[in-house]
Amino acid sequence: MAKKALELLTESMFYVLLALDRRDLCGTDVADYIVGKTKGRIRMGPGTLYTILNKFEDEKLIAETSVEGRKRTYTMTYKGKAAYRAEIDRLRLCLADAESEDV
Amino acid sequence: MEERKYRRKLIPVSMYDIPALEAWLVKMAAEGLFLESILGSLGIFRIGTAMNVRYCIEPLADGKNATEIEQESIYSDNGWQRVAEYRSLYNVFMAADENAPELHTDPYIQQLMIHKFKKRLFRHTIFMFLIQVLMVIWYLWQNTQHQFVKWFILYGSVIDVLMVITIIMVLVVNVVTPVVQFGSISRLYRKHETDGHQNKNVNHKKLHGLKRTVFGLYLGLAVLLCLSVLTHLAEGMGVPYFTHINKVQGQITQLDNLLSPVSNETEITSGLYGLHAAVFAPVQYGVSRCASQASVVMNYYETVSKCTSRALYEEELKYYNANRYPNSVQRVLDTPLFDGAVYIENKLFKMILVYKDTMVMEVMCYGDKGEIALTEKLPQIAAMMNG
Repeated sequence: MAKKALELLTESMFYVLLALDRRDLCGTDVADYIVGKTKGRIRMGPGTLYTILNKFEDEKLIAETSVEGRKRTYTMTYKGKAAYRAEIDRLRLCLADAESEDV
Repeated sequence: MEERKYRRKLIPVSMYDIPALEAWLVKMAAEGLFLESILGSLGIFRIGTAMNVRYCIEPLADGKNATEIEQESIYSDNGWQRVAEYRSLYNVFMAADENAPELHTDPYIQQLMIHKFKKRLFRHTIFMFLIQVLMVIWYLWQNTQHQFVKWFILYGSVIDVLMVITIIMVLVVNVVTPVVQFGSISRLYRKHETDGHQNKNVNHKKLHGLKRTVFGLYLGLAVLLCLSVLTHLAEGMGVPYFTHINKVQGQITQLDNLLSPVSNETEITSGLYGLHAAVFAPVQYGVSRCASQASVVMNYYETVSKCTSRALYEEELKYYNANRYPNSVQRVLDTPLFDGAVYIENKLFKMILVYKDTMVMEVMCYGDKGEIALTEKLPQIAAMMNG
């Protein structure tokens, strides 16, 4: 199960990668970015956020860049960027399939 | 009089059933009891004003690190305070503010977290299992010449079997329960059968049944241990029953020592330890000595498995009375403690001792040297028995 866990990203996982795609952010900034980007549609609980960050760090999708007091900043690795692009491609295919049915 | 500030309560749900424990803590808070710390299965609660709060239990990673410190700080900013930790396994957080955001908003992510923790427990289980296997192997190697299993299958008495099974079950249940329960909870989250952080869909019936079973096993062990302690105390206080037992054991030990010099020359079978192991050891040493007791019982059965009752003693007396061994030296040992009989015929020396219908010692020697040695020692034996 664990090996397959990140083959498909949940919405929360996807938005964490989205937040870290172009800039390095700390946990709080990631949460704020997601709330702003989704206009409040997704409000990620701190437990969920840190579980995702820990999981991504374990899987080497992200890496820690700096620590200032209690603030830890993360950056996305090449592996993370590849996973993020693959998920976008998958979502595009899903959307294309749906649109081809004239939904 | 100062008002009580804290109360201890036995936690009635499994410590590994996160949703059930969270729900119970919420119920306690609604009755004015707020968790302060956890000690085994005992919760220490602060007595306060009843209010609606929320609890969230989060498994700990393999070691406390900077991430967790940062995490706790962010949790605190969001209204969630860490109130207790359970055996370095998980943290318990509480939110007094009804508007505090949920810690977990994605059940799938929660499932990942619990799954990771389950793997950690599984590794721990394997490690503990291997340690126990090594201990058993070492024990067999040192003490029982690999015949423990043989004895256990053929001759295990009911109390020995029950005690060993109880210990094994407690060990198994203790290491397996967390893995199984975290597994089932992990599956529940994966199926999204949850209602926020409070899972109300868990069927606790089986889990509670398991907890009751474990509790029953612990109770049984506790009774045996108490019995053991009480017995030691009674021995120390000189209770006649135990004084008598010690006297019996002392005499058997002396006899065994007296007869041991001829054992190299002849065949001697002795049930010395049988009495101790089969009758007294369970009471005297309780659970902690169960394994050594079992090995001693094994030795007993191996040596005198055919002679275990007063019937044999009476049968031997019939032989004497019928004068079946006309050239033998015969003597009935009529002592305060034992019923016994001794006969020597040609190259055969045989002595049996019976204590309260239980065959406790049988000595058989064949050969000239054994016969001579034991014949010479017979007055000593008789003097000791009657003394």
